[in-house]
Amino acid sequence: MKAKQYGMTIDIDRCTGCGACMVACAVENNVPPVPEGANDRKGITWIRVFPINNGAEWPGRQSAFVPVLCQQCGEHTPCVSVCPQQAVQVDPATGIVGQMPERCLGCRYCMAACPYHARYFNWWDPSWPAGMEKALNPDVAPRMRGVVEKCNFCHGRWHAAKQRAAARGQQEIDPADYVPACVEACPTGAIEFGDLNDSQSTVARTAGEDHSFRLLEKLGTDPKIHYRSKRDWVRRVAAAPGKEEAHG
Amino acid sequence: MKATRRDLFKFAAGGAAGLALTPMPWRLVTDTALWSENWPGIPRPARGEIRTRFTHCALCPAGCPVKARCVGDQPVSLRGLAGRPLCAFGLTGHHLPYHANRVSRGDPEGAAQAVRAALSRRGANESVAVLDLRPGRTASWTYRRAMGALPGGLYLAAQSGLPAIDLRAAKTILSFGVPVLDGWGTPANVLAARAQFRLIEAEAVESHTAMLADEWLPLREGSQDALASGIRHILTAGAAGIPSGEAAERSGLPEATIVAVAQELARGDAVVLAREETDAVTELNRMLGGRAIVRRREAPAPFHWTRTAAPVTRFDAVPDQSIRALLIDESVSDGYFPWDAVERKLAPEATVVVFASSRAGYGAHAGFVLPAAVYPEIADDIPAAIDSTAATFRLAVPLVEAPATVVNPTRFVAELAGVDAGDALRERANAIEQSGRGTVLSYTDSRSTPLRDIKADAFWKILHEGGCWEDEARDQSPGEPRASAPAVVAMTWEMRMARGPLSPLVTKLYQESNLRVRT
Amino acid sequence: MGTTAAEKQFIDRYVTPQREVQWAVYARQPENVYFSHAAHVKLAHLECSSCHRDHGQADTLRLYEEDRISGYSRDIWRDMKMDDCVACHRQRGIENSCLDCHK
Repeated sequence: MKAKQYGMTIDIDRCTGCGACMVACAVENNVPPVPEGANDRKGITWIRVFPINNGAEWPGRQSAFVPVLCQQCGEHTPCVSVCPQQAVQVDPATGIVGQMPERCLGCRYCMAACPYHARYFNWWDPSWPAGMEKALNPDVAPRMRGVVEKCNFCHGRWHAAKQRAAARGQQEIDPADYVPACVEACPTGAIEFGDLNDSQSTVARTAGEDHSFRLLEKLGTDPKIHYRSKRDWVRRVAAAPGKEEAHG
Repeated sequence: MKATRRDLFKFAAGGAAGLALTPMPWRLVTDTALWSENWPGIPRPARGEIRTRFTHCALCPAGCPVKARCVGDQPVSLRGLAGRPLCAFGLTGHHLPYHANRVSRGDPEGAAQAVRAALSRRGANESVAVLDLRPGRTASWTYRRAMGALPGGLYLAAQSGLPAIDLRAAKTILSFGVPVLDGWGTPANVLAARAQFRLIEAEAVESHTAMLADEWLPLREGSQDALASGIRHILTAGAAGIPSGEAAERSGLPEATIVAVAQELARGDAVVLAREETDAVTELNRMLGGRAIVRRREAPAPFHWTRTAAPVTRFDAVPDQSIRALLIDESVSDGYFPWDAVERKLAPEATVVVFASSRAGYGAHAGFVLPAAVYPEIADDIPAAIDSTAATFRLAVPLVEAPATVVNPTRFVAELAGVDAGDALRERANAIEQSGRGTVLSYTDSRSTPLRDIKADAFWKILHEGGCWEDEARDQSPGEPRASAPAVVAMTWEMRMARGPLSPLVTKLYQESNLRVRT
Repeated sequence: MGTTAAEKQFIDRYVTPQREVQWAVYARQPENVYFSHAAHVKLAHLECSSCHRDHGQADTLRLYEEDRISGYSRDIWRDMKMDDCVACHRQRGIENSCLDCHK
């Protein structure tokens, strides 16, 4: 089986800022809500949509929305290199940077190391209103307090796809079976997912196109999330270090 | 030898050192770590075979088809169909039965008694009314029949005789604060039609729709009528409306911008949408005479219903202080009236009964709040969305059993009036099936079959197992550009977030990020 | 209705009052473990007894013993810990990443 490199392309010109991806991710991965009074720094948003604008006032003002999730960096990820517990690992077979909350001891070094601020800490045990825990997704295990979690490209769906393939007697999964929740929830199809190693896949083709860029490319993290926009100001804002403030 | 404190310390230290050389502390730590992985603070998802059931999302008139994955009777995930994903509210529908603000107890006997007492006290000029916040359902017909059977009965709807908006016939849309690209109509259809119209969003705040529109007009708060009048003035060459200079001053927009917008609207196939319908907007639409406002046929209903049903009364047509008993169905709402607008119509000491699943809303002002079922517990049909040019019939099928304390609003009202609500949904389906019009789309096999070729029982089965009926398309006759119905406010994201019911996960959109602001 | 006292107890204590039995599962793994029988039985053609003991040949079941602190059964400790799964995988030359078995 040839190794895969799962990646995404996100078309900023199509994102409507609806937030369905954020909620779909939370539902799929049993991400808990935060208590009343907590703010966006304590929130857990494996994928988070940021509103950006070109800084001009009306009538020259233009706005856009940028979904940011774990960028699934290449081989030498910042988080893997700092974890004292080896609680995160780049899977050579899929390219997914897998976070294992069961190994994490909560030092949060990885959160400091991640330049995209895409890692989130469970400040509290998951707390759901009475009865709502019956509605949790059985494909993903809830995390205890004190551990870091992040996007794993919906590994619960990866398992389900592998299960279906195994039931058919096959090792290779059917790509249509493995669609992360955010990709499925996007009403405009702004987020596309696929194997970057497969030259036939949409993501592989669009990742190489002219309007394609990646966040903080100069850092050399080699992320597998490619963004696309025909508007120059979007690329300018996305590349600017001021984005740190936007990340919160 | 006397044992001193120092001896005690030496013994303890020696014991600890010795213990560290044994396996005991390490084994205990391992076992404790294993225990902590599964300690009671962490919820355990249900285990079991996953079965798929179909329904429609009842949270808004888009009525998106839903594929629910259930463990036993409990849905554990809701997804849309291919090409039509669910929105943030729809995705968390299965959380709603447990939402924190849920009304769980009420006093239905007390409420029924109070309403009957009010009915007997009713003055000659007073009325008993049902306010239906989601008109167009089969339940709405039951309310109308009940009010038709009661002396002085009035059926009030948030909107009456709504025309539909045909997006395919609009080249330019001027929207006054309507969230066209943010949950309006049937979002999948709006986004599919996006490339065919130019959207001008006139709104004081830079909403999501304003950010995504082709043009944003940041007019001053409350100056909607000024802008509409100003445009009318330009289009009528001064015969009506206010001069554009005055419009510019009141709205805060440059005069040149107003002129440009008017010129664009004049090119034809333009329609004006507004959150609060006012005369100025209605007149402008009438002037523009666009083909986008169309009349939509309603889905067929049993004939004997139409004969006994009370007419739809517009809210503002009710005289002030004339309602003796008011029953508000807030269990599903697509628009709402501010409470003070409602209060004005109430007679002194009027009885108010509200059916709600969430405490936020009219519940704070009512004498009786009766717990209603919430999606996905409800069995109801979903009225067609505003951008649907053909009538539709699709059912929200109960996925979860409602708690025993829940009151069914239509049954309550029907019992009061002595009307048999019984199998209203089945009767409606039969009436549609007898008409032989339209097509049935079934989701399990993505097949579209003319209704003529389907028998009544099969039709009922398809409606429950994932399917919907759509009326046949026909040449659309122009609809009335909405007579003014002040005080109706269409639901927006912010209103849904403020009024609920909400899953706590929706906090990801406002509290845990700055994507949306909660008002 | 049944022949043994144990069966009567089952009916009286669980079926009649509609109570779920507190099953003691020999093979219960933590919540964060994902195991696919399809992959091991259909693809790898493993025998049941290679992981579970030979229940099928026995007339009576072993006593279920549980670690007081961690809550796991003694059977897990014998052949179903993560180390045992990893050892068998390594023996067969199957590479795995953590997320393949954890959820």
